[in-house]
Amino acid sequence: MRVNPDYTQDILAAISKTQQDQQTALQQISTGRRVSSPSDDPASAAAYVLNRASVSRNDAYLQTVTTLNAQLNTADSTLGSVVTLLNRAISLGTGGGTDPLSSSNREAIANNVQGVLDGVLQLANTAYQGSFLFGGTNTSQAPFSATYTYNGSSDSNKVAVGDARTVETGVPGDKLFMNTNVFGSLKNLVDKLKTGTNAEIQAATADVNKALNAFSSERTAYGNTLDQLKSVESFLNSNKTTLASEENDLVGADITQAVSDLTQAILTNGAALSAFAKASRETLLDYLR
Amino acid sequence: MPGLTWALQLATRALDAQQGAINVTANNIANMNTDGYSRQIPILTEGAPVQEGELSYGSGVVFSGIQSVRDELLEMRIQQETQNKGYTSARLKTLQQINTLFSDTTSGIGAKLSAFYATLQSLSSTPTASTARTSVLTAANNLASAFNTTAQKLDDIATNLNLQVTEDVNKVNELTEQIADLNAQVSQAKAQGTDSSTLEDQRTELTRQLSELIDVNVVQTEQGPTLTTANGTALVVGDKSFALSTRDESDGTHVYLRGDDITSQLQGGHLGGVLNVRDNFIPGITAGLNQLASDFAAAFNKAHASSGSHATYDLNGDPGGNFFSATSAGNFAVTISDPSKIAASSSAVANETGSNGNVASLISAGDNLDSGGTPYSAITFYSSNLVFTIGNETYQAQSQDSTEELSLRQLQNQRNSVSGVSINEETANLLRYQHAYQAAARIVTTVDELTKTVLTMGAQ
Repeated sequence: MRVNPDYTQDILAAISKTQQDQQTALQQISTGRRVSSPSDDPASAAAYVLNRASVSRNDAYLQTVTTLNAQLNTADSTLGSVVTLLNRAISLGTGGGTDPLSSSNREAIANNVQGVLDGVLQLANTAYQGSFLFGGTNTSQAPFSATYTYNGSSDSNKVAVGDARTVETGVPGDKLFMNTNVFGSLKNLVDKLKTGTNAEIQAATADVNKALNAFSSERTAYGNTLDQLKSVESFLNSNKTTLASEENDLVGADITQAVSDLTQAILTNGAALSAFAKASRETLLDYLR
Repeated sequence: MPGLTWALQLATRALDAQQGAINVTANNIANMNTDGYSRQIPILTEGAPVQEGELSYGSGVVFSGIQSVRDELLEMRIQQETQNKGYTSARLKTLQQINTLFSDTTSGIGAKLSAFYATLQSLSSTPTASTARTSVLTAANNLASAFNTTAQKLDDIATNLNLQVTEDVNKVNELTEQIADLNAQVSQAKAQGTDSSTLEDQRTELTRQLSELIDVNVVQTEQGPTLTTANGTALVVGDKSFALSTRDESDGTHVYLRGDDITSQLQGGHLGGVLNVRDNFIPGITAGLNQLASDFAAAFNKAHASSGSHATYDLNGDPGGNFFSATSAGNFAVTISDPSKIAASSSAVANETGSNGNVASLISAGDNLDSGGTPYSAITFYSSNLVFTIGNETYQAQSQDSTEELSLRQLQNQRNSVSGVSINEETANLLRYQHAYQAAARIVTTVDELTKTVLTMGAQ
């Protein structure tokens, strides 16, 4: 049988194939990715689109957790200062209600408690990055007036920190300060220190103490949310790792495999080239001298 | 009994014949790298014997012609396979352009959509912050331009394909004209009884080139091959060729042959591949993308705008309006430019502008596209499916193209094993003819010496 005398096309095709293999392996090694266009692996590329969306969503939740952490920590430490002030008012009230004191001394204590009251009002009107922390969903207006009335809203925002998980961004000011009678009891204590009897002062101090207990129990919502955020954050971080490993499974290159493919392709390429060089050298003409 | 002159005549004819054979060999060697060339062999036949009484003498050799070694069936299969290869490689090239368009995971629609969601999420925790609102608008504009750019690029590819259609049609016309011309020359040569194999080689090669461009059917007739295309309309009949023409229409450039629109019937060759992608694949992708753009805009607007029980309010306490406007991916746009117009709030109370009550429904808007057209309810599933469709089509086109390439190469190898020029073979033949030539020349010398002997006979 007569054979095809022109084998260049076959060898060229083989050389081109091995060069293609080299390029593919090199690209995988340099980019670290097995799938760099949808046609490389249509199913993985499509799944990668969903993976990217999940990663982006997860990152956005993590970002939200960071923002909320800062905001809630500020709020919680502000409320911590309120607790300190209330405790101070209680000890002032206790002192003012037991010892026989001169009226000027009581007046001084009353002024001190008034200072506490002013301090609490100032803390209750704390703003974080331009938004009032304790005005509910009314964040643009100072929630408490100088006469201790509440101008904020009784609603609070919910923010998603997971696909099926939301947290409240805070407790509205009326729940924290009005319902607990923080302002009312402090105001009453100031009045009683100025004009009341020992018994009345003691009763007023006891009211402040009650207010403190009620306030503290409202405040625990912040601690709880911060705890929740901690567990959410660790879930989101572990989810991030899962998604990253999923991404690697979908489109990441197996570098060891790619390096071995590259070595193989270089070898095959060399073999094809040397075959071409050897085979094309000799014809009958070489033997006819 | 023939005399010495008879031998001289025989030797001269032998010299002529071997000379002719050497010419054929030389021509083979000269054309060993010519596309479409089929090797030729000299036809040497025995001369008619001369009868003299009981004896019959051979009258030497006659150089009776040159024959091209060609397998017509194989040539036909190569022509068909070339057509398939033209089709698959045109499709692959075009699909690869679209594939590249969807390779970018950082600036595509999907990525911009995710970025848009991320800004909404951050708006959710700081609904009044102007930075958060501005980022939402920026991301929305980026998403809009991702839709616009993708639509524009698909459009550009289609436009480019129209240019290719025109270019292919021009090439086809040039080739059919040349083939008709060769047909005329071949029949003329045949009428005059001269050798037409070179012309036929050229015609085969041009037909092969034509098959690369368009579906061609070859029917052999008395006047040479008739070439028809698509619906059976003739491109070449004998020495006449019929030119294709193009006309730009709203859905792209159409191809006409003798007044008929044959665009949808062209299924092979480069032209067929280009038309297949332009008319069957791209419109599907574009329609899906347009549907997606308008569905998403509608769903998002529904969540953003205040209506009935779904009350939404912007930072100024005004009811929310439309956020996007789109009837297609090309005109997808953000309608609001003032960040305070983003309706994040669901609270009607004038001062409760810090509410984020509507953000959750904005975020989930893309999860419930109420459309009859798209099979996926969530926009992320849709864009994932789009990537799969394009990737898969390109992947298949790739494997089809390599299959066609392989079978075409195998056929060409087969053809070469019949018609290809081998240096070794030609060299061996050259030696044979050279030896025969030398031997015939020797006969002339010998006859010359014998004649001299005869002429000097008795002179001593």
